[in-house]
Amino acid sequence: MGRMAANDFLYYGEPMTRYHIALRKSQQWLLYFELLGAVVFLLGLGGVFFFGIFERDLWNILPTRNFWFGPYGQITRYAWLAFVALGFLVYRLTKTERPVKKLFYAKEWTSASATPSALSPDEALTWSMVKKIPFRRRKNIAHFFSLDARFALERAYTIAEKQDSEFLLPAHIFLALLSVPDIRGVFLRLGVSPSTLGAHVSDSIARSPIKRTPTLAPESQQVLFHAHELAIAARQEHVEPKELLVASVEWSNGLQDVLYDSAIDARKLTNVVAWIRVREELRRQYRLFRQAAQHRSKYGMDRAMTAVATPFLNALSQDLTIAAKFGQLNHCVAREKEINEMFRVIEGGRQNVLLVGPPGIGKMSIMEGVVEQMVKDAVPRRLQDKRLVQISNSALLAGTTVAGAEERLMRIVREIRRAGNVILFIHNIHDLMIAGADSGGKGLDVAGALSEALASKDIFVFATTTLEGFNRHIVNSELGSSFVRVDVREMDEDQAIQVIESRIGGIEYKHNVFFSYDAIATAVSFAVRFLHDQYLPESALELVTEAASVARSKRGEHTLVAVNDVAEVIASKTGIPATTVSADESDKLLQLERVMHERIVGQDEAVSLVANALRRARAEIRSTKRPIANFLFLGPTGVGKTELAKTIAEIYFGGEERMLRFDMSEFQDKSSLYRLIGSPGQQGTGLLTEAVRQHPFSLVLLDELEKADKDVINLFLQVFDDGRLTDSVGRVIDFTNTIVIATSNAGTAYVQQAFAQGRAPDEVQQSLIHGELAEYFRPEFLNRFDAIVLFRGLERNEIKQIARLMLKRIEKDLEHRGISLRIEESALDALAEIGFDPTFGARPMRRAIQDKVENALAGFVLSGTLERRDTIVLGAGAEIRIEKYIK
Amino acid sequence: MWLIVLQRTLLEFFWHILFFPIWWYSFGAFSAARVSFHVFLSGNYSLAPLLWFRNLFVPMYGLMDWQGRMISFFVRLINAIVRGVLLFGWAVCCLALFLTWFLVPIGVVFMLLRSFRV
Repeated sequence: MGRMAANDFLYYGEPMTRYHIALRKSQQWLLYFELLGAVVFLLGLGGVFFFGIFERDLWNILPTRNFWFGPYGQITRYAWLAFVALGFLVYRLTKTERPVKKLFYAKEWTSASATPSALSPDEALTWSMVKKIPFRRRKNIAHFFSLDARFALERAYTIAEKQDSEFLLPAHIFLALLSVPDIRGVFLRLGVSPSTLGAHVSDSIARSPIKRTPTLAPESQQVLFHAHELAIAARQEHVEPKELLVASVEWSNGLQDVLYDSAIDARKLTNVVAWIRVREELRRQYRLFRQAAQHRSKYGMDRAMTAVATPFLNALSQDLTIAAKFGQLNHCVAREKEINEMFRVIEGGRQNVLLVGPPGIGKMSIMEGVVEQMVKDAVPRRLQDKRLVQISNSALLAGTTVAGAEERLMRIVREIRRAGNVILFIHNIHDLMIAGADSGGKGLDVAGALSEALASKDIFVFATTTLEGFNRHIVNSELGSSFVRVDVREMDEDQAIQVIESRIGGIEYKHNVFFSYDAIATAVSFAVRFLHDQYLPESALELVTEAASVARSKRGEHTLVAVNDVAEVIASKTGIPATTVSADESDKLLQLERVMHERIVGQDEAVSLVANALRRARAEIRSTKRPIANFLFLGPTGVGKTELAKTIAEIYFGGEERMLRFDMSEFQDKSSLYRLIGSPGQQGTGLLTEAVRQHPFSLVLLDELEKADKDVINLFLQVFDDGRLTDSVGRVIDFTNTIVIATSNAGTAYVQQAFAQGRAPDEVQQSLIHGELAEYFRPEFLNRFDAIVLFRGLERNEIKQIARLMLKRIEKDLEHRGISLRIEESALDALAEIGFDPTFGARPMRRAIQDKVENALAGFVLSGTLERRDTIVLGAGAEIRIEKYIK
Repeated sequence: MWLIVLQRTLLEFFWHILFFPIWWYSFGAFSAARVSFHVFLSGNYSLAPLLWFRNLFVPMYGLMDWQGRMISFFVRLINAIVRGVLLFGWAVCCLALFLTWFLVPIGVVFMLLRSFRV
């Protein structure tokens, strides 16, 4: 079998037959035998030689010429024979040192364009065509397979043979791979037991009724070539078992089905394999790095000794190249693009590079990557054999004025010029400007001195700053023009996963736990969804670190950190229930309407709308780019609009305090906009934005929205549509975990009139939206609500129920005092009579209960008439009487 | 089948023994040369006489005055010469290492034959 790829004819040149496998096995045994034989001969002959010397006591003449050339041939011959055995040992070891060829790639950073060329698709080949291909273009890909991979293939054949299969299928390769430790590790990380998986795969393979000699199935041939392609794409030296794993899954639907049942898809598998690759690469890089670091001076001297000591600079800075030499810096992952961009700037003739990006995004990590490349000398010529020195901003400014700091900076620059091998690095360069701006108002003195130094173009300066710092202090300054800006963008989720995979070893070691792949992937996706103040990868790193300690404190050491541990950390940080829904909770969710009706009387439509929204949110069947739900509650006062909002806050968000209530009547003029989102330039002054930033998982109640200014109302267009709002200092506040409820009394008179005329609710609502409401809200605003719910006026019967609910609260209070309350039906009728007012809804009922019940009770309590175990009876006419407890 | 495998393995075993001297003076010699060359290169990287030659007129430690320049020149010259000599010595050692590869089998066989004659 073979295929054409990029002008080469690729073939797998190790025949998969019983005979060849047996032969290869016996060759392996032969090698062991030969090595063992050589060692035995070496030791045996050497032993005999020394025994001869010992027996005849010839130690004295051992170093003399007489001994070796004299009459002791019967002893010395053993030494020479031992030499022959030693030679044979060297011969067999050297010959088998590299049993496989390495895949070749171009060198490190300059090779950005030299990515491996895509392999051309199969072409139909015939033997006669293959024969014409010259030998040098025929490539046996088997040579690039590591020994582990080859053994796995042979084991696969044995398995196929044992199972009486007609073909050697990808499933057999998969089964054989399950006994490779690395591959077992993959499945443990995926939270699946390799042996169970093996049993499932084994069951899925069709067996032939007669005993046959298996042959390599066409799809298995593809697996071999695909594994080779994967290894090239990942720039590996060899084709390893993990490539075979990915390829075998890709080429077998049966395997995909089995894995699908264990919740493993192709992306997951590829990412976990990438994880192993990251770890291998880390080990390899570390080895290379240590070798390179040996040649670095620990005193900051260049190899030609042209450098000058920089005592003043040293006192105010840290030499990152020396820190890297001693392994104090982290390995930089997935930032090749930015590092290469920096190197291109340097190659292009510029000296100064400014990394711009928000805090926590990995600017320092990029610098660590640059230092790493410097130590390995894999940098442009102009940066070779130089030191990267990070100036300490606080040391530069400590105990001095701006003028003093300026002088220090000038001295540093002078030293750097003289030394000639220093690259200056200033982390958070805007700190130097703020220092200048704050003291004395003279402005950017430190920056002035620095920009003068930069303009002379004889020193290299790398610096970092935040976006805000760049816009405020640098962009329009002289300094800004001296730097070439390199933007550092937030990583995507896959890159962040890679970074975490590269760092997770340290966290696992520290906490003595280990991470499943899902936990890491979830941490990254939760960090993106819920932690908006921080950036990837730092936000996700923090999450996994905390999840590790949560898992350890809950279940002890050597446990697997799972998705729910990460969710728990998120829940404790933000209050958002991110854990999977438990059985108890799902029962509760299914009966939400019943639970809500314990507090809300009537208003069935509103309750069911809200209940459905909550169920969708918790089951994660909703858009995560909008608030959980936006509702507009319309209706007369006292019919339960606010009460429903409170109920939601209690049931879904865990308490009424989770309701952020804004009386929109307080925001009637245009300037009140700034009270909601904060005054320009002042951080943390927006009432709405700050509240939601601190409690992203809450209910936002906008009471009497129609009373707010038009501009204020327009502000919510964006919230309803995108689930985000930008505050006055440019921070994006996330509303995607809130429920926004606006209430309004607009058009109440019309509604009551319409209901009195006996018109249908739907009809009333439609004419309300198109008529009365249009006065207050623009159609596009109304359009953005998930639902506009019309609360009906209450009926007498409902008022009675409300009275009962309110009295229940009093009953509870009395219970604490040991007094029971009995309510008679006639009392409820009387209360409904007094407390019912179609205009004011249930509000008069509260007053009625206050007057009739609470006032009387207060009198009883104060006069001491009430004793424990007494019963209060609320009877006809809502009159109260006491039934004394008879002992 | 097993008989054929055994036969083939035995043949390979004898071939390995026969191939031993041939390997020593062909592929083996090549890898010995490669190892010696790498040893030489690492010596060159550490001693770097050429680097010192290239910077002959560059003052050391930034001493830019004429006295400094003069002292630097001589120090660099001496350094370059001493390093050059050391590297030459190193190269000789490497060559000796490589030659040893060639001579050892001859010596061993010679001494072995001699020991049997005594």
